[in-house]
Amino acid sequence: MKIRHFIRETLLLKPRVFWGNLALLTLTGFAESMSVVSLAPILDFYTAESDANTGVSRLLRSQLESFGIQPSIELYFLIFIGFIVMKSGLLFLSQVSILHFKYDVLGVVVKRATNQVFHSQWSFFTNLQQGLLMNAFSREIGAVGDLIGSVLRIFANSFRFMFYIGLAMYISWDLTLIAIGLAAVLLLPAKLIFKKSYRLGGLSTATAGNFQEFLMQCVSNAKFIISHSLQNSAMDKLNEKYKEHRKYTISSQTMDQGHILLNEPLVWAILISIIYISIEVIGYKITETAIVLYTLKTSLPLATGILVSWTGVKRSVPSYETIKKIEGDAGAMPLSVGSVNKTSFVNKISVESLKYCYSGSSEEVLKNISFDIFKGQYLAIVGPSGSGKSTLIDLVMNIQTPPQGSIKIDGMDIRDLDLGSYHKLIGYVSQENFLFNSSVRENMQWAKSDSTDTEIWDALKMANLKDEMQNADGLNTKVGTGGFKISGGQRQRLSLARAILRDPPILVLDEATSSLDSKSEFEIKDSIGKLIGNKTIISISHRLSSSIDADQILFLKEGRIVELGSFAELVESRGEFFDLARLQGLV
Amino acid sequence: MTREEEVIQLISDIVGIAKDEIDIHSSADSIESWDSIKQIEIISALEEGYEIEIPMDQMPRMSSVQTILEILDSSCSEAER
Ligand SMILES: Nc1ncnc2c1ncn2[C@@H]1O[C@H](COP(=O)(O)OP(=O)(O)OP(=O)(O)O)[C@@H](O)[C@H]1O
Ligand SMILES: [Mg+2]
Repeated sequence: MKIRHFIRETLLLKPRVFWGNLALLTLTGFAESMSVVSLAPILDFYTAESDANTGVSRLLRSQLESFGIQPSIELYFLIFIGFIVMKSGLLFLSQVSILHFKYDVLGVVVKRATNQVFHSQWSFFTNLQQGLLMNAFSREIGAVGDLIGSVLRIFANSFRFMFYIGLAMYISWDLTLIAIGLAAVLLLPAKLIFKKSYRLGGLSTATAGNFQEFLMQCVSNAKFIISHSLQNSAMDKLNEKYKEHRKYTISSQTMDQGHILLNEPLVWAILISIIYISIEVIGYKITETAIVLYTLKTSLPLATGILVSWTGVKRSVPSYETIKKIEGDAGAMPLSVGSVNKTSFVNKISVESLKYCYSGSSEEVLKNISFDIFKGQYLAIVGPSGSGKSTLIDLVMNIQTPPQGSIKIDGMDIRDLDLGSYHKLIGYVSQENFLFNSSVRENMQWAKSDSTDTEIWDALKMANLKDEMQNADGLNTKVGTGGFKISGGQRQRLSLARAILRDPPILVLDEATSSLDSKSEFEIKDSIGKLIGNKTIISISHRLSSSIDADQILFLKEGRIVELGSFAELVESRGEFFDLARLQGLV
Repeated sequence: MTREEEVIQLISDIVGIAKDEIDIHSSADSIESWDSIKQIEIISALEEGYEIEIPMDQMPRMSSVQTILEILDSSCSEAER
């Protein structure tokens, strides 16, 4: 990607602020050079005989006299101080303004990407290479921030640089050209070192990242490591990564510091040569020499700064591209955007000739699925692992789009509905439940932000979790990262309570009891039992026992409906369901 | 010259030891003078020689002939695309 495109896509998002900043920078550059210029009359006053003044002093004096002001050394001091104050003030202002601008633009970039990501279909998340999204959000965003900062710094430094060089040229162009030539020749080797040191710096960051990432992985796998006594091999691997990081960091910092220290004599050599040439060879006065030297001494770091930022920009552009790619990929599979508001469920949901295959595979995970579920019914979906149960539910939830077939609620295609209004009709407990690392109350309020404590307690009671929470810290009980501070069964029931809290007419439960012990399973089943009749329930399980009470059982195998009917009917038909039920001791 | 020979030649030039003392199993661990700065030089030379850009996160791995060849293979095939 070209830097030009990057600027157009990011900095020009806020064109007024962008141009405003440039104007401020111009003003700053002007004040900065004026502060140097106004030093000339002071130097002249103390060094030169009155008839040998520099052009700048003469200009200033005639200007003052034309206003009828008598020039004096005190006035010169005042003017100088005035410009210095103005320069510092403007410099401060423009730096603050650039900082604001940087974080505003970064905010827009991040918001654009995250918004797109969270409005994409579920398969976007499952398709993504493991960790890519996490990495992008944790590391690349920082890099993009630096990138924006670097580009702005290049602008700022270039402006100041141009003003300084322009001023030096105005005062004595020959001396300036000689000085630039000298600086270029003497500082050329620095550029070579600079490239290497930049690389080493990058490697130091990269290896630090590797080390941290591996450490994180070890922490996540702590249970595995501890329970298999693998501490030593974990430590060995960690140590290896650390040693690598150490190697690059020490070289990189040695080189940086060495570079700065070794550069100093070079810079002095240049300065002394310029003084010699200026006074002895060309015959300039002290004032002119001093001003040119001062401007060069100030603009040299600016030039290096521009070089540093430029390399940084070239290195960070891929980070921006990563974010853009994620945004684009997410945008390529958006959630459906209907506009019809659906506020109630009155009759039935019908699934018609549904097909689905995951992108990148030609195998149909769902093959021609059709069934109806009426209001108030309890539908159990059963079938072996991998038969497509969760996929079917994802389609019913409309977080994946089927390539063929349709799902209708009360005769309306769910793709035409406003997704938010449709989701208000359904309480959904997914197969893997991940809680937010906060209190029970906050986790519940994600489902319904304005819920009162009474409502929350009621929902917890329905989910058979009330007593346990009362014995803990009440609604302030902390659930820990991912919910790991409470038991698996409690986590599952909290998720169920979260679904109940919204009081939706429909409940969709994916494997609500699969990973639970029989007591927890009983609690959940009991709580579902309380809801039967009041709510329309779709419940997935691979244990047939949970389907006995269902009005309808949908037996799914390899993406196909093998049997559909009530428990009695399926037993009656003596098919595959019957064989399985017998194996599980149900008939 | 095969790519392996090219890489070994390049490493031998930069690290300053004879070509026949380097083989596919050589690495920064087995060659004393192959330090981090030499490694940067090797990476830069490879980038210029093959006209590719090696991703920063791959660079730490490029401390053995074997992994250099692997990374070169993937970078070059990417550059062709
Ligand atoms: N993101 C995905 N990308 C590709 N294939 C997938 C993806 N998710 C699931 N599959 C495949 O689709 C099929 C159905 O998976 P699904 O999760 O719907 O099964 P399930 O019936 O819910 O199984 P379980 O009882 O184990 O939860 C499986 O063969 C699975 O490998
Ligand atoms: Mg499943």
